[in-house]
Amino acid sequence: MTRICLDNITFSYKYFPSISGGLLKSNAGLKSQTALSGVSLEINHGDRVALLGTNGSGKSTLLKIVAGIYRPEQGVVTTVGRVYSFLGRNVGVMPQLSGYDNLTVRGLLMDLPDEEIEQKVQEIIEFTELGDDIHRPVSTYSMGMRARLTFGMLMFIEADIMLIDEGLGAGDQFFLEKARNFINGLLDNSKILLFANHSNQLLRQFCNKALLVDRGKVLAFGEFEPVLHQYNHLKK
Amino acid sequence: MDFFKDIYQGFQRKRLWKKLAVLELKSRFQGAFIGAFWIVLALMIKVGMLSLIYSMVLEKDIKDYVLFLALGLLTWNFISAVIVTSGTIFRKAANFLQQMDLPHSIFVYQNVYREIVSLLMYQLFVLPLLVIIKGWDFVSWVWLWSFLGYLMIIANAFFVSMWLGWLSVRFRDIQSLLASVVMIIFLVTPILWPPPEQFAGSLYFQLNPFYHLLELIRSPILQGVVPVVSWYVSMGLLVFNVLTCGLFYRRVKHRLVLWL
Repeated sequence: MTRICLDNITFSYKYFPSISGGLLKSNAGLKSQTALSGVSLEINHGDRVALLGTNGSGKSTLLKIVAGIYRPEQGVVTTVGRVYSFLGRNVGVMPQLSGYDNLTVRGLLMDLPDEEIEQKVQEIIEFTELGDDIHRPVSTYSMGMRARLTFGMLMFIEADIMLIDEGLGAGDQFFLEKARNFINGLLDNSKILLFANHSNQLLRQFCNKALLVDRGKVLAFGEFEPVLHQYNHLKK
Repeated sequence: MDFFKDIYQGFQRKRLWKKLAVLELKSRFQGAFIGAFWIVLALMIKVGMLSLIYSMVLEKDIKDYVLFLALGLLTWNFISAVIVTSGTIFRKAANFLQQMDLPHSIFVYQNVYREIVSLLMYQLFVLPLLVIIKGWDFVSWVWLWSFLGYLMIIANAFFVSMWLGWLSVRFRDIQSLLASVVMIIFLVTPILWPPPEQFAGSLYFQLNPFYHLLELIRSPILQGVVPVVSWYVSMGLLVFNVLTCGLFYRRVKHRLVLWL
């Protein structure tokens, strides 16, 4: 059964304060910023969780920890099920390549068989209505076209656990509606969704639970509306 | 063991790294009139010009010298390209590594594969050149040792790329160092000039691993001799490179993405 379990997770970023270096010791002046501290959570199948929190509260870090990209300094992450992570709006798009090549590379990253990639790419081209533009370098795309392509990449989903960070929300009104319908179709009870987005409307549409993170700690986790209410109060 | 698993899993993703390498090559020559043929043409121009000048300066027979230079230069091109680009392997892959948990070796394969494609293209120039200058009689079974030599160089290139790649992400100084160090190695290694006979055994050459790597290729083809000492040195190098990667893998695996 699909499940995510975080047990007492602590994680911090190490960084150099502005321009440093030339100090003969490469980690001289290395600072540490705690991004998550003592986070424990259990998310079960069928949970579509909205990640709420102000900028820098630790939402993206949490997603990266669940995706296995970052390893926590303390604590244990357990995920049962295939994870698909889609983090950031333009991440993974190589502008010098055509939309088509970008989609193919995405399929290969997901390790799908060639025929399936080809089939998916054709579906995506049709869905995103990019037509012949798919063969142009992405650097020549308009913002809206980029958004469509990015959403197309999301359509490779073949996973039980979906982690999406700001993946949606661009593109024109008609496309957005189409995209929402697509996501809705994907979400059946066997899947877990962890979705970070600043549009309450989108979150309300997709999610049945919410997780409120603030300064690296979990403030609340439960039914969507009460937690959203708490988040709105936090902002005031 | 995790390290070997990474290498195995990375290899399994060959469709991905081959595609990335080919796309990288294509985008490098995007818009160029003769495209990837520049790889060969650049080598031809280099060998042509340098042969004219250096055969005169060194008072060598141009036919012998051009072969010595071409073989040395193409092998060196491979070695130096791998070393210089290894500094950017993981930084270029940051987009992917920050998205999902992937074996590091995927990007090392990508880097080495791309340079192998260039290496194969170089042969389009050098093999006919050998036959044209020396005739068919010159071709010998001993040349197979040069082929094995390439495999040895490629194996070394793979592991060097990996640890140099890690090192350059962790210490930003390395990237700046690589280009200048490679230039110095080029000048002190017998590539443009054959080692003078009275100094052939000198420690300056014998202690230079790059000299031995080049001899793996040059010696069987030009002298028809298997360079035994150079083989020992290259195997030693390989062991060193594998051990270096293996020892640091566990420490680097989950930190790399934080350094990017």
